[in-house]
Amino acid sequence: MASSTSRFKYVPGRAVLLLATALASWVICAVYSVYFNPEVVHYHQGDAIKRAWAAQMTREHGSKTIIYGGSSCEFSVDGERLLANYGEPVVNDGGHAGMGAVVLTESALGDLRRGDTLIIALEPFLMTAPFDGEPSLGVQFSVALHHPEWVLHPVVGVGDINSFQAAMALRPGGFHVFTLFGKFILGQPLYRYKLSDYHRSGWKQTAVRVPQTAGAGFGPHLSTGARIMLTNLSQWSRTNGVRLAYSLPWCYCPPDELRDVRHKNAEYLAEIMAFVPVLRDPTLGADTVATDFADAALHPDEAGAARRTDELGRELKQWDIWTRTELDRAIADSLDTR
Amino acid sequence: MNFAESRFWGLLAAGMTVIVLLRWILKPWLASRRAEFDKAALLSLGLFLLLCVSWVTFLIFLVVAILSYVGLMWILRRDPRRWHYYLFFLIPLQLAPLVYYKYANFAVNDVLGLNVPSLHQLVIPVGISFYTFQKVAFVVDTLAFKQPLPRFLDYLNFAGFFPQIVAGPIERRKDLLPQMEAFRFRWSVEQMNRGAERIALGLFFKMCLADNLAAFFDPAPVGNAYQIWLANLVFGLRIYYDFAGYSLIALGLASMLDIRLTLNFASPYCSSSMVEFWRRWHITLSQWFRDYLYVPLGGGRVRWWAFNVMLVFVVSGVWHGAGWNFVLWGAIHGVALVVNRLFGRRLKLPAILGWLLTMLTSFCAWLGFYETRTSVLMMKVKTLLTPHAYGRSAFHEAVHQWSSAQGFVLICFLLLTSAVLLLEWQSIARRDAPYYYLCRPAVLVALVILTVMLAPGKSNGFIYFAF
Repeated sequence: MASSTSRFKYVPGRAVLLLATALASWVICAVYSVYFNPEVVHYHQGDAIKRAWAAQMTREHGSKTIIYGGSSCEFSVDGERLLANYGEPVVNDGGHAGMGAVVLTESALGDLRRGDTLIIALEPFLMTAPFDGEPSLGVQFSVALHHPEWVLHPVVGVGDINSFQAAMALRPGGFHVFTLFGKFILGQPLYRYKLSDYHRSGWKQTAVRVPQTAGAGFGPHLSTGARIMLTNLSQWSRTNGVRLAYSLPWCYCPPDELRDVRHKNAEYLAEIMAFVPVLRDPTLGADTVATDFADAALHPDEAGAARRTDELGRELKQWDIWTRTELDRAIADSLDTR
Repeated sequence: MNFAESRFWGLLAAGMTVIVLLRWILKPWLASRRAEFDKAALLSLGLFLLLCVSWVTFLIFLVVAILSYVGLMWILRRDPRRWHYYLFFLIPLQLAPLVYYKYANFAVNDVLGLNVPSLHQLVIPVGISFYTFQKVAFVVDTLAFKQPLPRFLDYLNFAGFFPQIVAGPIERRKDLLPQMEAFRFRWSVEQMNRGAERIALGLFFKMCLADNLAAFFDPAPVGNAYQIWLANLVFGLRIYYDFAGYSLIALGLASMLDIRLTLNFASPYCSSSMVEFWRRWHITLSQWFRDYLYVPLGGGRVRWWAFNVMLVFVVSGVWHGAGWNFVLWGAIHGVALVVNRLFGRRLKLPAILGWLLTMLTSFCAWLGFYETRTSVLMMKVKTLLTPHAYGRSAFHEAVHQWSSAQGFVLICFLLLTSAVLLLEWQSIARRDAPYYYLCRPAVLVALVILTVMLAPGKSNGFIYFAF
């Protein structure tokens, strides 16, 4: 007894208690983040739907197209409509923009086979913001899907974090905790979307409507991270026999800002074009029909998604891509008329 | 040395592991020279960590340290009656890198109106203001109190002690040098516990409060008084918890090495007068200005004491950054202190009113701290002083801006901050010991849980790294 007491007198008890508390708190936070976080659970379930559709498309059609991006992609592209009206087997692999460009990309690469087509529909704000480490939600999603390599060693060669940083990201954070608390006391659903919002191809819709008054802003130029990612993705697609292109998401745009927004979007696409082909969408990502949007300026409702899907179907069918000359003319035209 | 980054703790752990291993391997040969080894190891660790921060600041630190030591050695060999003349050469030499990196752009381009583009790109080396002031104080103290020149190794450890080199506390020769001269790596259970408590509290301040509040700081509104006040409030709370957090972690790390550093913050937002506020805010810098500028100017015992106060605070403002906004920030505090001293004793306000006035002044002054665009700053000052800007429409606009999940989360964080401030106030009111109740074991356990749970995914740099 005496010897054990003397042994413990060299142990800084309070320091150990604080360290143990920190470790135990982290373990609980990590378990919550991966298995119980309503957002992660929702996208985990959504991922299963998308994988099942991808497997079905591969099985039935041999080669397929995967389109991916943030939630603008999820809400925009109806794969079943594309298959029925255009004969294009398309998987909507969109996710939550908060996961970050790298995790969204890595998630999409897993279902690709030689001969497939990959359409990048990442939102411009994801491509113009710096890639400084993966966002927590992206890390939590990748761990929940048992793919920590998406953030530790991403194929796209950028935005990677070390194991310690990844472990630290397995925590909810203040914003998540307090908004969850608010929803709980107000009796609201813990996440605004539900599993039944998904359609078979991964397309998502919601009954929620929020009047749209303004579009979404983004930076002037592609970030360094985005440039590296596009370069590596282009290389990867060549090596793996995958056809690659970029498709600009549609965003609500007030009518009086239409020309400015299209000008800005055209300049953005001109930068993208230096790395990957860009599908020739004459709307240049700007849609002025406010009633065709659901709960956000980048979330079309069924009517908006039908128009966007039909336009995408035409582009895919004809493999209609912008030439540099055409895009330069579009930029010049919008300048002239401003 | 960003204590909020895992990289720092990884490098520190690696450095300490190497030291422990070397100590163990070299044990038979170190018998009589263990103290020297420990000091050399501490210095190596400090320089290594500083080099990992920035090689520019590492070089400047070494150059100024060597220059100060050699200059002091030279002066000490001269006639003591002429020492103060030599100081007029040595101190400007010590300050030269600080003046160049921090003020050349402002002086040449803003004040003189010359357009020298290369100066726009100057980046202030991390920690330069802090270690330069510590070295100046060391030289002055050595000569003023006729102290002997310490051994070079001890001096370098005094000047480059890693927990405080980058952002203070700015330590004085009499406080830190004797501890460095007696330094040994010791395992003290009490010091480890005390250090862990302070580190835990510091990390809570920084990662849970400051980093989360940073997300709600919106300096954009110019014409809405309520939104400007909210930005001032959020910024004021954020900078306090950011810097106090850093200082507490520095104290905790030092404590684990059995070194006592000066408490840099003592719950300043519990002050009921501006005089008290400055006794509790950035204590070591306030003491530096008091002892090396205010007192030599005559202090408060001369007829021009009000001028002295104003000068000290304007210089303090400029120390924080080269810009008219910092001059304004310093001037507001200077005026507030003069008013406090002139009327404080005669008026004898109730404590709660004194506290309200102090908070009103200090949070108003934060506008001059964060708004670096002079023209925008003037517009915001005008808004704050215009009664019309406080109308119902402005209020509704401000409420509308925050009537979302974002606003709810901000309210939650402000409530959490209020609870912490309440405990700070109780610590002073009941125990006269800053942070006493926050350092109680049960409270600390709760704070650790909150830190792990609520800290945002991405850490912000410490604000004072920019000064």
